[in-house]
Amino acid sequence: MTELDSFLVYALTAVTLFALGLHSLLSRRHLLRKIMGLNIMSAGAFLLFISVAHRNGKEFADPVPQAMVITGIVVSISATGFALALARRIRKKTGLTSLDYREKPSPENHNRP
Amino acid sequence: MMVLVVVIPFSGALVCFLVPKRVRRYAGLAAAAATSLMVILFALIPKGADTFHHALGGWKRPLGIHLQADGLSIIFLLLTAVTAFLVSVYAGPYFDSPQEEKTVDHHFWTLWLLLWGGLNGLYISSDIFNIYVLLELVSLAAVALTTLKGEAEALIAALRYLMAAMLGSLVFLLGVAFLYAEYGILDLGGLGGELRATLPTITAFGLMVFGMLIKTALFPLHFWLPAAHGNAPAPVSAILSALVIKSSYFVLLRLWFEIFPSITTYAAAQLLGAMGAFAILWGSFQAVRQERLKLLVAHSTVSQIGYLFLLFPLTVAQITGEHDPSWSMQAWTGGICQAVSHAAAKAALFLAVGNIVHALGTDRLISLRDLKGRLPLSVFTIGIAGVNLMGLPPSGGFVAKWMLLNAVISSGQWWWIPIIVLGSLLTAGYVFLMLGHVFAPSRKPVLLEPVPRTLEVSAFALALCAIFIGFTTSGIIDLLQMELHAMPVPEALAWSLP
Amino acid sequence: MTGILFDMALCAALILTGWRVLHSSDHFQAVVLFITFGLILALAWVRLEAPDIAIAEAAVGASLAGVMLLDALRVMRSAGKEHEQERRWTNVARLPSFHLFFSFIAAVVVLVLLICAVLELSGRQGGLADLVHAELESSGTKHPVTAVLLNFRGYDTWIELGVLLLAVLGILTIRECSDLRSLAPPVASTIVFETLVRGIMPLVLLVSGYLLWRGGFAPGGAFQAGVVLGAGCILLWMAGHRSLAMLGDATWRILLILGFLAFLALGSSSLLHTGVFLAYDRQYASLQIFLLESAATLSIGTTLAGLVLALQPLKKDLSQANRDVR
Repeated sequence: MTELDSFLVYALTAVTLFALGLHSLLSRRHLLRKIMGLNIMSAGAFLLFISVAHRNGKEFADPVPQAMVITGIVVSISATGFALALARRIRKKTGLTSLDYREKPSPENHNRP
Repeated sequence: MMVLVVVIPFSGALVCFLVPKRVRRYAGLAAAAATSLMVILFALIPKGADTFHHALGGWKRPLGIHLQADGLSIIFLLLTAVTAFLVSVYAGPYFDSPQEEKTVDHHFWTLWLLLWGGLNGLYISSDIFNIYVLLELVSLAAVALTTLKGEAEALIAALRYLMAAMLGSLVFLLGVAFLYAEYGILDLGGLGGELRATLPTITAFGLMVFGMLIKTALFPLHFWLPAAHGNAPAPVSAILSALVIKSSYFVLLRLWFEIFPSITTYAAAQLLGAMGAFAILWGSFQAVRQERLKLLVAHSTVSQIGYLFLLFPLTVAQITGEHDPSWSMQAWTGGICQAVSHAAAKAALFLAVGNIVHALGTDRLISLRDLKGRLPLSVFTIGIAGVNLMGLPPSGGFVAKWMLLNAVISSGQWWWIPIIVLGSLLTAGYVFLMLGHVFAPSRKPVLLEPVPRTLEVSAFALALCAIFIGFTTSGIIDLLQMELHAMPVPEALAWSLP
Repeated sequence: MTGILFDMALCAALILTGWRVLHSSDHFQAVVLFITFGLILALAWVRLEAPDIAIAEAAVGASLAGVMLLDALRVMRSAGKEHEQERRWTNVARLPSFHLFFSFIAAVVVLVLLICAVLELSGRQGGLADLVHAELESSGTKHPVTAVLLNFRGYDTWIELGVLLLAVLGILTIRECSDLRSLAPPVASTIVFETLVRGIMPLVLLVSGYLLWRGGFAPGGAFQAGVVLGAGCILLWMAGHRSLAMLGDATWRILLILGFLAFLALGSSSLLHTGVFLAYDRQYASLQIFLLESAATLSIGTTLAGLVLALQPLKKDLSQANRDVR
């Protein structure tokens, strides 16, 4: 019984984290917050996998979700690194720290192809 | 044998990464040719259980990952092979031209071949977690390719694209987690067999479908698409619009018709159809309003994606929710024809527009006037591709829209008719907007940058392919008869649970 | 009973930290909290009997991601030296309130749906654990997670190595350079730090090797070993050593693809011999897996270090900055 309860505790936390990350991704403007939001979403998805693995296990926890999560962590750090690089480059090139921007009305603007 | 369609492009990617810059272009082209040949060989070989099923590592289902192909896989593999090969032919001289010299020692070929391998892998994968990993591979490669030009607009578009793609993958991943929690397996066929209509299953279905809709950029989730496709280098735009979008659409088809057919409902299908209808109208309406050539073409993609989604309501009958064979096959064929012909036509369009931008040095629509009848082959390519998008005979686009219209009429879902008609009219509007400027009197004499012959010819060849698809419908129908769940499985690899 | 209370406290801490990460007013604080979040999560993995993931999370989710985020924050905050800036855009001051409202509603709806779905999950003891257990003998390794990663689902791991490669290539593309040779040499650090790092290096190699070897029968393996190796390279850089950038271009490229290549080579050779991709020879399975893991460790180390190093200043940036100063 306790097994199942701890499964519920972790699984509910997992989906809460997912929704939290989603909220941050949609509502925060700063790119770093958005990227952290994505990471928290992925943490939520991983937690659901592992709580299931824990529930499924008898002698040892189900290794298949564990392996999937390790794969997932690698994928997620790759994407995070790439996204951070893009964000930094955008900051350097345009001075923007978010994707919500407006164009300045300036004369040089109109001459651009 | 089947796994080679993944192994060859991946090997090619590594070779391109290691060889010196001078020969990279030729190595890349050779790898592209080898991949296309492999796919064509695979499509031609005699069909037996062993050719269409591969157990990686020799492990039985559900422990190991299995590769499985059906008619749909072959169609998508072929469409990718032909389009991708011609785009590769185009990319060689494009990236070597002096204008592009500033993108120094770029990794286009490695990124592109990894992307291609990922696409092929998606079409033959029969494991939902494997699909997730491949989707990430495809998305990261696609975003990296978008940044090749390095302009600020492209970077911003790329980051938005990356965020949308990541969101899509994560939502998909959570769906996978729910499915695993409920059924304890990841194999596509096995899941389809065991499915029960429980809340977690429906949640998983919703999550996975939503994830794929973001990646396919169906209205109103298309917010990332126009900028990303419109600011990438020409061959990359062609790849993104013609192929990458189709991969998540393919996954959606797999989910809808192989894993979840027992819980898809009439209402859900109508909802997808309605989103598709809005996409058709909104995308082409926006396209007509654009001032930049590439953005116009990108918005046209938003609208053409809409047609792909008319397939869903037209294959599910009212009330019973069952697949009615009489017209659902027409809708199927129409939808797939649309995917195939749009791939060829849109790639041709982006490449031809790339030629014009290359020649003029700008992609403002108004500057098309300065062409003054020069670059006839590229303009002709735009014309042919436009005919395809509008759905005029003889073209693949015509067959696709004709079949969809037939299915609409015989299924009695008359409310799609005005959408299809209005969509075609608006499409005609933006195609003639482009062509109209070409034939309008020029403003001032402009010196054109010479366009290499290969660029023009490969774009034209793609446009011809789009026309040719109109004549291969019977082949497509034959292939579509081979459905995944009906495919033979080798005796030795049959289902095993301890 | 205490166990479940501890779980609940841990989960509450996770949610609270997660919330604070996303809603604290200061970006720096948020990043620090993010690192804390990773560490608490690692604790949760331990509780859930997933030590492999705990190691990976502590090393990657907390440390490496933390380093990258802090570095990015430093760059994104600095106001000066904006010579490259095209001043065509400005950030929108604040989002319209309907946007915030909409995103809040969306998150709440998703949350409610997901909670209902979790509560409805049937408590069926499914999963592939038994199958893995049954086939563990013939997999060539004694640790089930390694068996899944390298053998049963080796195809996924192969593609995942491809994703890592893509990330580095993507970053290089963004930075408009093709390899690490265009990096400006690192700033020399204090002699104390440098000596310290020199002292640690053998230890790093030892730990990495140990983790790799351990993966054959206990938690550990290529990924964890690779992370340690990568961290070593990053430390070297921070101590003023050129680290990966001193490798020849060809060596660096080969190291980067080694893991991916090893899978490809093994897969193709087994395809030739037995007609099955990525099948191990029963007799030599342990050895083959160990070789694959070694190759993957080197690649993962190189790649992860590359993800951080490729973001460091380039030669051309520095020369530009010098010109600006003059």
